[in-house]
Amino acid sequence: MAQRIVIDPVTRLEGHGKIDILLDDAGNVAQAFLQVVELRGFEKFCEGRPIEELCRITPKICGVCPGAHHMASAKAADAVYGVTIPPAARKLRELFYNAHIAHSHLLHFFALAAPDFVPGADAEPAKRNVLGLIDAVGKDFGVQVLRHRGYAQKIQGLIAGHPIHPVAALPGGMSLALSEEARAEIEPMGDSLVAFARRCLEVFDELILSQPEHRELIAGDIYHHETYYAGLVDPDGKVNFYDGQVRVVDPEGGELALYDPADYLDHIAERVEEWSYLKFPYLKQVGWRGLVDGPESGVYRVNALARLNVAAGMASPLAQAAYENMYDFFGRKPVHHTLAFHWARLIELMFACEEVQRLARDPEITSRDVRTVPSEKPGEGVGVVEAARGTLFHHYQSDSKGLARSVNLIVATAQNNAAMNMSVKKAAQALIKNGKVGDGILDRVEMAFRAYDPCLACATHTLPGRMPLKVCIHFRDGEVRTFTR
Amino acid sequence: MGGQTLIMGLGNPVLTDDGVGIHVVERLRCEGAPEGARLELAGTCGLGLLEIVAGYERLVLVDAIDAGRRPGTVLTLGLEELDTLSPAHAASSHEVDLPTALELGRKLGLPMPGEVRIVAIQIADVSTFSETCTQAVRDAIAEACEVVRRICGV
Repeated sequence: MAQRIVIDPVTRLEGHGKIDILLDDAGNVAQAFLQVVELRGFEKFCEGRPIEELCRITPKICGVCPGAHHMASAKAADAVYGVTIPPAARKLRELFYNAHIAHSHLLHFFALAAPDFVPGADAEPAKRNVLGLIDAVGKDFGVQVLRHRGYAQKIQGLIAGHPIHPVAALPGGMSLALSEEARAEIEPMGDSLVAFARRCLEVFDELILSQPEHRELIAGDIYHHETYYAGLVDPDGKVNFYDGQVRVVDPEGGELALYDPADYLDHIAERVEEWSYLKFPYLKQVGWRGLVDGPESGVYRVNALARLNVAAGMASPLAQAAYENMYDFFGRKPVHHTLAFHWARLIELMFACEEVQRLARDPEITSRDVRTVPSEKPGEGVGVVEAARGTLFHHYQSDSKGLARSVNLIVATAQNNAAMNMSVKKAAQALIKNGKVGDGILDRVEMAFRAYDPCLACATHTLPGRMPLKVCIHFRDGEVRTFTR
Repeated sequence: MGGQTLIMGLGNPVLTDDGVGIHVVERLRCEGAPEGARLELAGTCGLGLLEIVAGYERLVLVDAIDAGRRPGTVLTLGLEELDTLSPAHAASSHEVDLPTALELGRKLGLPMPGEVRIVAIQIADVSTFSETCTQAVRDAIAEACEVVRRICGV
């Protein structure tokens, strides 16, 4: 009897982790742990480098969200030098950054998430990827997905100098203004992206929401945790990826905190557990009670659903309509259903595309005034953005010559570490009973994990790409078995 | 776009041996690309690959691998071997791996390369931040370049 259930490797993730599932005598799940491998030497690697070089180096930590690190790093560098960037520079960074978010969310949904639903967790493994998805939604739509992924990447390249190694942001603004020629190239891409994002929401509705078994999965009890949520909001309380204050709400939606990101150390503490290299950020104000739900537990979640949960709405019309649609479906706010992260991601995709469209038409976007040369002595600074996967903090201390003395990052996936562990355990408990495990059941446990769109490459700066991954199931009698897909 | 051969280096250039594919292709660029071949650099495989490789007859990927060999060993793999041996990025689970990406391209009617070879170098360390490879892997870069040239028929 399969006592040991191994998910090896955890497929369709950025980087990799290991899931340990511990069964009791009856073959039911007693414990589940998500572990990741540690990468070494990041601080040392950064120390002594010019602050502005960090803006080009940190994006290389992982090939998945270079844009997010580029933005957070540039903002931290602005703060180190005490410089305010010109308005046009902010708009240009926002145009770049919304294209980055659009690219990331699009990719995650079609390559990583959607295949869970279409053709579904019970389909044969060979179909449970983007190929099976294309069979279900049609070749034309597949071509559209590729085309718009390309647009989102092209826009980033036009602004930041390179599509996957952004270089243009630096302390004080941008090194390159946007030419009218480039702007004219971006504008129709923005329009097309908006239409495509609408289509994505329609596809989600047709293929997932309108199917009872998928609706049940999304709205059911297995993928559900009542936690706190945190994310950036603009002065109107709406979702903003580039800038804002951090808003934290409790499981009932009441505001716990609204703070300037520079004060993050007053609000976030980190718990160390001996079985995990990845620490567990939690809310200082609430305290650590372990990997549990509820208002007494300082566990909080970030990423798309969290951002929508803390916000008053979306700042663009089509995204706002989609936002209202989602909260109507669940009938409450905050939404605690983990699979709703996928839905929230598409609503954010809509917003990001509308922002690209809006900013591409803004007359100030081609202004030549995109840099304020720093004149203050360098000191200490914090830069925060919402990466696709959640709030990203870069914190730098500089010496008097502008060389980095210390560098600290809190990445999105780390902040979801506690919740990911809880989600995997809960899904495992519900779906692995009396030692019975099927292929579809294993994929369901992974679904709990993948909803967070985790990028383990950043979380402990773990190696991206696939590596041999073990899921160890530990029997009570000491036996350990490993599965491979 | 398109032509005879595309040589693409994959990897993370700040994670020690993980970036060896990048170093190999950069060396080829310094020495001069094989005739009829174009050089490219990328991070990992994925959907973004499709528009880059479309139209080429032959694709040569250069990547890091952990196949349990002596560090610096240079392996040459075909697509069919990726089930058992997993180069760090060609078999990446970031979004879609190489075989899936190529099959998707074909499904969508894009002209995918008919011949695919992967030159993979055995790593020693991919978990420390550094812009240079370990000695054994550094020493293998020249050999990997030779292997690539041979595949290109030079």
